[in-house]
Amino acid sequence: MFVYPQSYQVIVIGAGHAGCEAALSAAKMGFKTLVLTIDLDHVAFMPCNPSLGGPAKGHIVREIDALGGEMGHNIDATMIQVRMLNTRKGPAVQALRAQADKKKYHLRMKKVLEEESNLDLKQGLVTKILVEEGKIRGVETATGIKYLGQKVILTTGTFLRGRIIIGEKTFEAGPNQQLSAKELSRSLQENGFTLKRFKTGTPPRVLGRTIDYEKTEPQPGHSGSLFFSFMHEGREGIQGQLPCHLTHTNPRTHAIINENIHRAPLFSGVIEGTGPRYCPSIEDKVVSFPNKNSHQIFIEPESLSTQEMYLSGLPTSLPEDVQFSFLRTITGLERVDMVRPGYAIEYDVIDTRQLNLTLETMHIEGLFTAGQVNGTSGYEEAGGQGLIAGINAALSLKGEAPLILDRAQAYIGVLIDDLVTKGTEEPYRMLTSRAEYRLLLRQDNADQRLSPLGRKIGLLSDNQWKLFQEKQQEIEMVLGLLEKIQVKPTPEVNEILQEKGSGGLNKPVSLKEIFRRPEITWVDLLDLEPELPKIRKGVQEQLETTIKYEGYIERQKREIEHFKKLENKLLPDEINYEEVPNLRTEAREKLKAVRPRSVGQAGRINGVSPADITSLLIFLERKKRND
Amino acid sequence: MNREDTIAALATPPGIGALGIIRVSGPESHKQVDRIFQNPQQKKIKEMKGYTAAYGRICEPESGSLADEVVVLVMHAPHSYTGENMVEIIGHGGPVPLQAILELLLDGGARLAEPGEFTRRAFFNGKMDLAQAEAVVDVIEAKTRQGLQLALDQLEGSLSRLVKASSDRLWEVLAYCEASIDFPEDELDGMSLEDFETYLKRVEGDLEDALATYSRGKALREGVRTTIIGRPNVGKSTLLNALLGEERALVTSVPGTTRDSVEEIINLDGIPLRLIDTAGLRETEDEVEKLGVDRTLKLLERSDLILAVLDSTTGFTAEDEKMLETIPPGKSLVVVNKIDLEEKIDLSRIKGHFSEDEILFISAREGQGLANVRAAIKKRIIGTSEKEGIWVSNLRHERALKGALKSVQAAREGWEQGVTMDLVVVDIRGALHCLGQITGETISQDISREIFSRFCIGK
Ligand SMILES: Nc1nc2c(ncn2[C@@H]2O[C@H](COP(=O)(O)OP(=O)(O)OP(=O)(O)O)[C@@H](O)[C@H]2O)c(=O)[nH]1
Ligand SMILES: [Mg+2]
Repeated sequence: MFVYPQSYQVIVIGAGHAGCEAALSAAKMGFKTLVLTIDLDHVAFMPCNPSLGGPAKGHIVREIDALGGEMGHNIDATMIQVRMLNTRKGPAVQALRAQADKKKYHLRMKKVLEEESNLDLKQGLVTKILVEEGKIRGVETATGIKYLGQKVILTTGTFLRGRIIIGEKTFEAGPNQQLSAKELSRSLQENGFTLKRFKTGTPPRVLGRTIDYEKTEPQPGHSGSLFFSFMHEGREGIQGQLPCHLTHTNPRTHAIINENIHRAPLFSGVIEGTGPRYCPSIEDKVVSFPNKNSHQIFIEPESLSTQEMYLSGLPTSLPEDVQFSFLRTITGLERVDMVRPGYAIEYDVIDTRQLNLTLETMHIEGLFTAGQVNGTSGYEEAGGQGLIAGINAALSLKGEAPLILDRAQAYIGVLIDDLVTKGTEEPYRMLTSRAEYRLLLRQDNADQRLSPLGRKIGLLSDNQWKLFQEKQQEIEMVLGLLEKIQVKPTPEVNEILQEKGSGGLNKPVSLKEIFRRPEITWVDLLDLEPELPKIRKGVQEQLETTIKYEGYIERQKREIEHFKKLENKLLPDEINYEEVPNLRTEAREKLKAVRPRSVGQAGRINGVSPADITSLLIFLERKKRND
Repeated sequence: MNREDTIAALATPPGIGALGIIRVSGPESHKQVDRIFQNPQQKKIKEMKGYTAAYGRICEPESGSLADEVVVLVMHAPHSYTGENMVEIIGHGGPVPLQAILELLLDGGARLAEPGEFTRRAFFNGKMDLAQAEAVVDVIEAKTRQGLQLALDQLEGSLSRLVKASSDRLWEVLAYCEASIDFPEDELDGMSLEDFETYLKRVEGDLEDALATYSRGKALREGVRTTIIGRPNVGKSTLLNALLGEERALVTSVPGTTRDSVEEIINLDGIPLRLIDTAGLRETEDEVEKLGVDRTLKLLERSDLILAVLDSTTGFTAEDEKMLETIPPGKSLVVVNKIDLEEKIDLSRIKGHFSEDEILFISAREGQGLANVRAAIKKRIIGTSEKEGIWVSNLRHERALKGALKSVQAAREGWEQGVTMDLVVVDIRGALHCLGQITGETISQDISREIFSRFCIGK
């Protein structure tokens, strides 16, 4: 066995969305990092939908960016369409969604990795993790090379014992027919990990020039300065956006699916893994909602450099001939040429209750896991975890305290807390409704929430930090002005207000008070006080949200104070739950398995009751008094 | 468990006639009691020394209406049972005023203490040793179990059916909002934004109805406050005596005989009635009598039921007119007395305000028509329609319903005023949280389950 001469501080297995963030953060924080991936032509590859963002997911991309990650930059540079969703539903839930040119996305990210001086990117199929005395030592590849490293981050996506299913046919493979990582799964089990089986699916791809777009409804992008990265705020919006197109299935489509339902692996028992409810296959939708006569299909371009089109809404693992015939029943797709069939993929995932909030595994010191292998779905969720795993591997090498984001700080915090505390029974997708403090976890303030942390750990670039500080100063300065400037109840003022559909004044009030009114916008304030400075759109938006939402935000802040009290009550590492009196057996077992970091986290474990928490608090208090 | 807020609870088991103690603990407890406590020496609770007592009155701070005369015992942190600032309010007016005091404290921002919470605070503030504290955990467990049994009992009652129906509606609205927020590009069948307001209004109405029964539920437990009013000499005291079956109140032919109200409890087919005879209503210069009349007006506010007595032998006077305007029609019955004599009264004036079965004709002296009065009172209290089956009688439930109602109102008003969905959802979640205190349902249960079972999601 050949031992590679260079030994690494961090080894990342897999160069998907989690792996790239993990590797870049560890390298930028100063550690010699190696990335091993099965196929160098699939770095940061998008095997499913060629898009990024949307509610909660877009928020995560902003958070990655605010901490100093790469995803925001990469999508900003390679998107071919962008939209701001939920604009009328309120600032807290507004989110960017972009169509990526998936070829460019991959190529650009690969280049960024290659250019990072502390980072080596290599092709290699990892078959084994090397563990000595409970500590990670390195990895071994299929071609017989041993790489030694102090920390290993496992970001293998859906490759662990990957199995592709199309109708009656199954193959051992990762997404897009790449090699499946079979041995590695076994190596993990040998090292004591419990694995579960999940399933996900992807729709067929079709050739663009065979689509009759006339019969579909175009879905153009939005104009304006819309970017994921805070560094690109205020830049001119992207040009030459490509539209998506909307069409629908119909009763004929459903009839074909129903006739062939006995051949659907989902129903014939071929598929064992648990699939996601939020992304059901078309056969699943047709069976579960028999009264719905039509389902939406979004036709999305995959890249400027190909005619291939992605059919969002149509994941399927029906046999290829069935896919072919039902596709041609769909309006606009009557003559369509299918170039790749849809498929389902089954893969092993780690039961995340075996992880700490740092994403380090409990069993093996120095081994971290992140991304789809942790049972999540989505590029953004993967990226967020990869970033945290990379940061924590680096912080641990530095001997510094880990970065743990809590539920009141970031969606990434909600995500990891859910995974580690509760585990997941299906591929986990982030939803804004999973966050208790949604009004504070906005996409516009991700920088305020996280950039100081990104700076502290040494990941945020000087440039981005400078921009951040300038923006904060501007916000404070303008807020001060709005509080200071008084508007008098003159007839002119009242006339302006009435024009805006707002009530007149009868005593002097500050501009801030006026801005609080829902109907008043920043532009209206300029009418009242032309002397106000010119400010960036990002600053305007943030001021508007904080002022108009103040009451609700204060309420959530009070709830957060309450939440933090138990969150800050840390449970000692060496706590022996057998010694805690009065715990119910179920609670004792769960606490032993999850090993929560704080009393707050303990309270979120399914099966731990408020009475158990009281017993735990009493135990801690007694210990404190005895010490 | 939050130890920063101020909690209050009855410290003595409820029972008629006993001295009652209300315990208040927490950083704001002195301030909270000061808000409603008045005493001749103008002493402020927070300025009083630890373990000293003061005599005074507990009054509603805005209207000034008296709840009870009390003794307060003041304790300063850490020298108290819980180790926090504390006040004990000792009332002697029985359960009704005690309840009123507790409600005033809760209105002022105190929170109703959980079972065992005073003891738990005592432990965490180092006021108790472990053995005691562990006993408390047992008590908490036992109480929870007991609470569970209660909850199960409630489940069979119509209150929880109503609460369940309301929370189902709110869940539907919530699932719709959350789905449309998290899946903005999906089609959501089954509900539309127009339904939204209808749903919320329906819930609002149901909660209001349930809350309206609170006073009735409470009344049933604690006695229905029934006040007899009317001009001097119409026969109010005679009516009291007749319903009571004994000569309790002084009866003379001199108008203004009753100067101060007289209270007696009678049992009306199992319903406890607290019957109150009052000084006659009239414009007067007599200071003592004036005081009596003022008191009567206040009494009316706090009554569950009012018997407005008219004298059939005299005409319908301006004072009668005024009385009928003052009393709330929803909780009043008109009693026309002295029908054994010649009838002079013109009833056409009343008929607009009251329906026929709300006007009763009696002779209090001869005992004529009393059965009708009893029947009418009973019907008023128990009612006949279906919704009347709901009785909110527990203060905790009342608080939860009130909280839910407030949130639903905020959500609906917000929605009407164009407040964005992300905020409206906060109030809907707030309402569900309140209702959850009755049903035991929590929102932390996976909301996504609701979304995916209701809507076909996924692109
Ligand atoms: N004929 C007749 N006389 C009645 C009846 N009820 C009461 N009276 C007489 O009316 C007079 C006043 O009765 P009270 O019961 O003292 O009247 P009141 O409303 O309590 O009067 P004040 O306390 O003075 O306000 C007494 O002389 C009663 O005997 C009745 O039904 N028929
Ligand atoms: Mg009298």
